Amino acid sequence: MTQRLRLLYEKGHPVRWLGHLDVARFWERALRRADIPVVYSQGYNPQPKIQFASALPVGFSGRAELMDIWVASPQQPEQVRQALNAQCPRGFRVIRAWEVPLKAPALPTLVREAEYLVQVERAFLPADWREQVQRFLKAEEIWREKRRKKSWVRYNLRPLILDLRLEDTEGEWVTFTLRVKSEPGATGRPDEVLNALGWEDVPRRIERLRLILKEERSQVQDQDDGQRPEDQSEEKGDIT
Amino acid sequence: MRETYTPSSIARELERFLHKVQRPARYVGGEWNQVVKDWDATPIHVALVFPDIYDLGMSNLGLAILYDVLNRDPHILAERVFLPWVDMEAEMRARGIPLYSLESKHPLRDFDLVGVSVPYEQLYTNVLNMLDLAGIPLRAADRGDDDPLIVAGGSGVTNPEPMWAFFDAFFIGEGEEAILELARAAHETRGQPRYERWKALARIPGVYVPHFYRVSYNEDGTVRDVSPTEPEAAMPVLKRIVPLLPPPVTRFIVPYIDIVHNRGAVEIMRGCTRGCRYCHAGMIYRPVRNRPLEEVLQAVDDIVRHTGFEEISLLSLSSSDYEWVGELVQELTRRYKDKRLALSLPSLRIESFSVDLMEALEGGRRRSGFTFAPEAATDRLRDVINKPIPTQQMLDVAEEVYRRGWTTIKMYFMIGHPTQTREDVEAIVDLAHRVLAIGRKHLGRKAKVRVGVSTLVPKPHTPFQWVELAGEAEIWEQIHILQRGLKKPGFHLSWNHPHETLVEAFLSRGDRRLADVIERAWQLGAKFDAWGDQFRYDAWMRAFAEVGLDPEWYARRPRDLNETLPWDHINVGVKKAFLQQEYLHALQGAVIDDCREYCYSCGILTYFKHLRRQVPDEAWGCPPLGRGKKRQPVAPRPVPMYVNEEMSPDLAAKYGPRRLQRESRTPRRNPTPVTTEQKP
Ligand code: SF4
Repeated sequence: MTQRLRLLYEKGHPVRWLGHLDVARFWERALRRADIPVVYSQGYNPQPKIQFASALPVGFSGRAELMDIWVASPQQPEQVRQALNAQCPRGFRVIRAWEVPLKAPALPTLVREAEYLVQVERAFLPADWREQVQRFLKAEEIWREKRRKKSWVRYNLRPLILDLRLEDTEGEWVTFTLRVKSEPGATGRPDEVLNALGWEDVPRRIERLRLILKEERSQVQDQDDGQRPEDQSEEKGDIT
Repeated sequence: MRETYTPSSIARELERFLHKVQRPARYVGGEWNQVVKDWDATPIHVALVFPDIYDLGMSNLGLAILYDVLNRDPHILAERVFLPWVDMEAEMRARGIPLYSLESKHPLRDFDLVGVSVPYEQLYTNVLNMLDLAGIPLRAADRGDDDPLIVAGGSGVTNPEPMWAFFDAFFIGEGEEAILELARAAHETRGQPRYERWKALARIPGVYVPHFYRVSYNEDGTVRDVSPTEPEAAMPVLKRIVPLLPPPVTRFIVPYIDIVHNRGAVEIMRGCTRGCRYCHAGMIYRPVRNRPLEEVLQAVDDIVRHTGFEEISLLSLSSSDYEWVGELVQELTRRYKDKRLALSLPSLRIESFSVDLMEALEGGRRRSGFTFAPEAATDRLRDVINKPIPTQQMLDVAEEVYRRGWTTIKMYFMIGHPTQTREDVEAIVDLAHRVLAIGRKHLGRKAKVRVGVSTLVPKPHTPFQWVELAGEAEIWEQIHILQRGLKKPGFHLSWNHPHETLVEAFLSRGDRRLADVIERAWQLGAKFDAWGDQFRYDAWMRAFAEVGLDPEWYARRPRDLNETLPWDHINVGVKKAFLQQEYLHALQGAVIDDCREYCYSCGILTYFKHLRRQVPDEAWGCPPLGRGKKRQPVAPRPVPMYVNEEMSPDLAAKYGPRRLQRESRTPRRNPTPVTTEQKP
């Protein structure tokens, strides 16, 4: 009896230095240590059935990341959460786990936007950094290049940035929040914003605060403890 | 000039720039099963260094074993240190960040003991780079009393002489017990004058403190004499071994990034009884010790539970020779059939039994490649190197491999063996073609043969230690023969560049005078010598020229049997007389059997008799001692099983026809109960 579970988890420090494939490998091994009967694909090289909402690049932490796992026999989501947390080193933590219907749409197709907290060390910023930010916000086109397989593709970064709000400009770290588009083929990256500002070398901390999904309330049902995932919203961000 | 960094300031500084380096996870630690102890509450601090990047260091079983042994002791903490890759090194140097440990981020200088694992010679320049990045004087003689003791171990220092100046001490042999003694000695002598600390180390059996020996040279440049200068200095320094394999590591640190060997490992057997004459490992890791079957099975279960690894490798120098290999594979397949655990069993002999083992292990999945390592392509040359697997047997096994659906056979050869002719090289091409033809018959165009060719680097403590490295022009000519012969689709040829081979050769065969060359080469930019893209041949050649030495003299001079070799004062448990006899056998084409059939008194039982008596009969490959024991006969010197007819017709007649060396699964041919104790 296959079951599909959705996990909300945190990628903190020091694991923010992992790339997406490293994170995936980590969860595979943690699931194996926790003896959770994950479903495997068929074929010569069977892979565990795990799906992530959205890859988080090297260096980024995530406060409310999402993944789905498929298990071969029905599990109590809360027990899965605890069993996994017993296998998590510093930086990883499962915040919540709940069941979703097997037929629910794939997580990556639900993601629309992402919200980030970006901090840059003030001492390393140029004197006119505020003007740089203003110019960035006023611009209609900011062309950047990204790697697509073997070639570089030019794309306009600006329309992918939906909102940029300065939160703290006086402390040791200048802090702002950033809301970006996050859809297949149209994903705004906060580090690209920093690079576009010319701040490649500025020490930074980038944290994804939440993923904003397409309204899926009717499909994401919490059958476990009656608590709905959006109950988390006050402290962990609205994830449905 | 350098600001003093503390663990917390290092951690803070890392956060500032790690986004600019490749694979930053190499530099932060924090993995599952990492051991972090309270620095102040734990008296003894040991850094375990692998002088290359994380990706390689974390793949090294030796380091994982020592980490486990040390951290089991409540008084000791052991932390890992790896070298930064060039991008990270540049950042660290620009900011003056010293080399630090992954666990607590303490600078290397803060430790009592720095244990450096040196499994191969191409790491020598990295050792200098490591010391420099740590802010520790390169030469042991220049270090202050507060500097940690820097001790090397591993198969890359069985000839310690080229690196003599840079280490306070070398440990020869198996370190599982001695590392605890070294840690205590380093801690207890902290603050004492360095010379006294060296004495404390030298009192530990297996430890070589190079500053306590004087070397003199003959006019022709060869070593005249090595003599100890302090009563603490052993002469010779006999390697240490453990009588039984210590409990296997089961709580491996689980790396986040994809490292070279991203898997668990169980050492099922240490040592090898086959006696291949080129093989350094086969000589220095004697005697054979088997890990009990139950222990291996338990270890596999525990590793899966503790790490979640999807693959476990069962390691030994010759897996088919593990006493209970059939039972092991059968039981593992039974237990893990539905659990999706990949098991690998490298170093299988070219026998049909190996094909059965692989088939069972792979369980119908992941049909990739099958590896043959004949190392020479003619029956004659394999007699010379004492790896007598008949060509016909190889072809039969190849037939079996392709018939059962593996598409690729990898074949490893060496060129430059003593007595090798052009025909022996052409035979590599011929053999590869015959193997591919078999593959084509079963699989058509899908069949592949990958040929890997390296040049023999005659290693210290092997019967080939007197042999010279082949000349560069000769090596190129042979590589060209192979390139021409293996151009067709279906083949893939890889080979080592002769320049890299030369560096490996003079580093393994050098004497103390090479220390200046190594230091100069490092100053000129040599580091990461094992990484093709970083290798700096020009730096090495210039360093030799500036120091006034000749690399050819070290690498390509055949050595006289009576010469005092630079490493003669290091005893790896194998007698020089045995090696000499085996060298002469090589030149005659005389083949000896697996020494589980016939003990040839290589020296192990002379030096480690007391340990042999402590352990169960089946625990070692060497004959048990005592009356009435069932054991192989013992010969005081190696006796050939047969002698190659072409090479020595007269002798060949005396010893009789060609026979097979002991096959893996066959019971011993001569299990004779011996009533009187024979002295091997
Ligand atoms: S003592 Fe005899 S059996 Fe033991 S390793 Fe040496 S030759 Fe082999």
